[in-house]
Amino acid sequence: MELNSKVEKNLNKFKLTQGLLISSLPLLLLSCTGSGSSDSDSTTNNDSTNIITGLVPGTLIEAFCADGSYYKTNSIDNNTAEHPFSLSIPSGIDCRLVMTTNEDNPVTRIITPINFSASGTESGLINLTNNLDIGYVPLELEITNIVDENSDNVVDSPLTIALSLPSGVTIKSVSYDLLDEDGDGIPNVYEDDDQDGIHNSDDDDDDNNGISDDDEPDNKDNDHDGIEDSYDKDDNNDGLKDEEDNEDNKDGLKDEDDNSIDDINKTENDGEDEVNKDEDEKDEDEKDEDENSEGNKSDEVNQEEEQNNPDTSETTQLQAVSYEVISGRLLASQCAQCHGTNGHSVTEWDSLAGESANEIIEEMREMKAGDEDPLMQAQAHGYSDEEIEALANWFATQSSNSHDD
Amino acid sequence: MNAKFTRRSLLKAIVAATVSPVLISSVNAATIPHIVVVGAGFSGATVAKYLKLWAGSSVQVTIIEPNSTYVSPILSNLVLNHQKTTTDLSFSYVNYSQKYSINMVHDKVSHIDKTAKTISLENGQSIPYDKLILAPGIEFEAVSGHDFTKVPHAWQAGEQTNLLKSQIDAMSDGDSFVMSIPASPYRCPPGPYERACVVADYLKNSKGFNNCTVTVLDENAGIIVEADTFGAAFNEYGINYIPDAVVSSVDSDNKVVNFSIDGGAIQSLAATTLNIIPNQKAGNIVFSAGLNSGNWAPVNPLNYESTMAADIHIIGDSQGTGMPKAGHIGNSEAKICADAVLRSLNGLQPDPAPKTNSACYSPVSSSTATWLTIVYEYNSSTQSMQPVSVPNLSGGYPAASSGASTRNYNNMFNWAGNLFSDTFS
Repeated sequence: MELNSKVEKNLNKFKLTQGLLISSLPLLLLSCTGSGSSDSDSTTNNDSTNIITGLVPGTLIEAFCADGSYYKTNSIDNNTAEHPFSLSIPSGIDCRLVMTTNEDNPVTRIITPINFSASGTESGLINLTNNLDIGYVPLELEITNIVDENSDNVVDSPLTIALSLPSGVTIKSVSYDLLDEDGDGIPNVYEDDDQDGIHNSDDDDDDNNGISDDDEPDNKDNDHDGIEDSYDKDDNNDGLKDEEDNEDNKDGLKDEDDNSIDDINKTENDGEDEVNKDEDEKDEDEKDEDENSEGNKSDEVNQEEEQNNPDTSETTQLQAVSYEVISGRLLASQCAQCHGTNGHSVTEWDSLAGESANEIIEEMREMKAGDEDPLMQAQAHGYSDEEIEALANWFATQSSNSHDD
Repeated sequence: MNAKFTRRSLLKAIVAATVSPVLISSVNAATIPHIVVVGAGFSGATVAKYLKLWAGSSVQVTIIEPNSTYVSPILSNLVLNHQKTTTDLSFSYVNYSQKYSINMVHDKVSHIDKTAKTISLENGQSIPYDKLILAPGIEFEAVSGHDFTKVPHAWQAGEQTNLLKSQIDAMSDGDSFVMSIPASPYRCPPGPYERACVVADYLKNSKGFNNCTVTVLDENAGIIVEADTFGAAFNEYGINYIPDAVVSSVDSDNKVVNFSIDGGAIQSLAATTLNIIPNQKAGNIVFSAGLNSGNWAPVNPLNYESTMAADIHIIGDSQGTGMPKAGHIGNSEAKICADAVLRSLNGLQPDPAPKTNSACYSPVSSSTATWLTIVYEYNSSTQSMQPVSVPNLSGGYPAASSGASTRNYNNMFNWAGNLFSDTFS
């Protein structure tokens, strides 16, 4: 009861300060579509973060995120029983939190995965596009008080914290999560698959078959977090993104001097990525030329656009938490095979995004009548006037120059 | 962690507790439905992308795909004449999956439990789904004696494409190229005719071999698409075209194909390079899950849901709507399916009047190409997709280019570039 009231008190404190917290950037990861490497690069380099704060006993706080990234911090000893912590995690990416007390002592440390509950939903998967204060977390400090059947220092069920969620914070209850494949609230890294008292991330042989995990032919997940290495932004969970990490497997050798498993995520894929990237860049160049040559035209279009649709720059469509049937969108999506996602062409063919509805309607009418472009003539005949109007109206809501649809 | 809960039993408990997911718009604590997509070719990659594009974080999407790189069959005949490499046509899922927050699992599905709504992977893992979308592509009918490693089909791109390329590269003037065309329906209707033209052009005009022969054994009664254009090209190249030719067996070591014409006596033909493209059917998972009728998966074309199992959808080459089997229209079907699945999760009926389209550019030489296109509509009385009736379009659907041209050849890359991007980027 006492602990609960402390949680409540801190939540109240949070409510008061909420207005001062920095508001978040929108869900950038989902926000780019339709063209080549510039999107991918901005995605890869998306370092937009939000901060999770709270009070704990002396504790190591870790976050495991769905893109494979890993974050950790230690609480700050302020000579009270409640040490503050602050941890930045990526915006808009699902993450799980784990807190470890007595973290420097392998015998007495207590590893506690965290669940959150709000509005009847309980889950360890949290997604921030706003900052969050979770208040005081009543972590156990005495190893003899925890339930830990296999004695791996990981509590057998997560600790649940009740929250009243500010906007921009989502608790997601899912039937399947790569970070917690069996859905028990204990992230994969802190499971103990072979029940030998050593949790997977510390267990060099997590299936007790006598073969070191590093030597298993099917070991595609170096850090056991559930994200396959080629998709894992930090495949050894050392807190450094792989792109910045020159010592990928903690064997003391820099990657360039290491013939061993630091290459575990550098499959044939990587070479082909390079090639694709080059191609994308090429595409991008071509497109730039197009854009330059039509610079005046698109400016005009933009002005028109702004008048008709003052809010085209919003990215709400991609953040939508419920599905909305939008008139004309499904029909318009049938143009994307040839004219690019949401009407953003990556080839010499026309982009439809940024054209006004009337322009598209007029073009389709001309296509039907003339035989200048026989393929488009044949396509245009496939759609009724009403259908053309609906898809044209939808394209008119797509801005011409941005990929942030 | 708790010894009482093994992974398997716990999953079962969770599955049992799963009720119909409800998407909540204003509350930020939510149960998120899980959609599993099996196969990430043109239709599978498109459906996963558009599910996330349209519904964002309100759905969770996991792709199960055995290969970490997809090699596009579209444009792959240009590998045979050295205008493209398979690397040019390769797509990684790394940026794609991070961009749309799609879970990628590289494995094969071994079993579908329709009642518990779980799939099992070959690695033993079990994954629950609320909606399952199968996009497994094609499987080949067995041909007696056919060893793919010696006689490539090159109808799934990658190693097979490069094997056929290397065999063609090794040919000398006077050698023979023999290929077979499967009975319709098969993946990419113009594709085999396109291949015969590209190879004949390459041998004659790029390598300067005037004495090579190109023979086409077509199980169909005639050229099934763009007959005028391909027929003219076959004449120009001197391609020996044999319709109604049913392949009965192959001697893979000696590159000999045995076939009969129109039910006649078995004949044999020896080749320097032999390219047998076997008859086709839906991917294996469709059969093992009991979702096939004949060779393909019957589905409702309003949402691509199997007519044989609830909450399982089948798109792309495996579906049996009668629409063609090809990457462009697979992408088209995927969007209809994505919309219908999202509507269903929100308690809405599918769009009652979906439209799909197909378009395909085919190279017939190193500098010319043709095209073919069609738009489909839903007929509510037959409950099937049919070509839109277009009285004002001369010739109606399918519409095709009036002949091969360089303009078409250049446009082919504009088409493919946007199709690739709409699918894999």
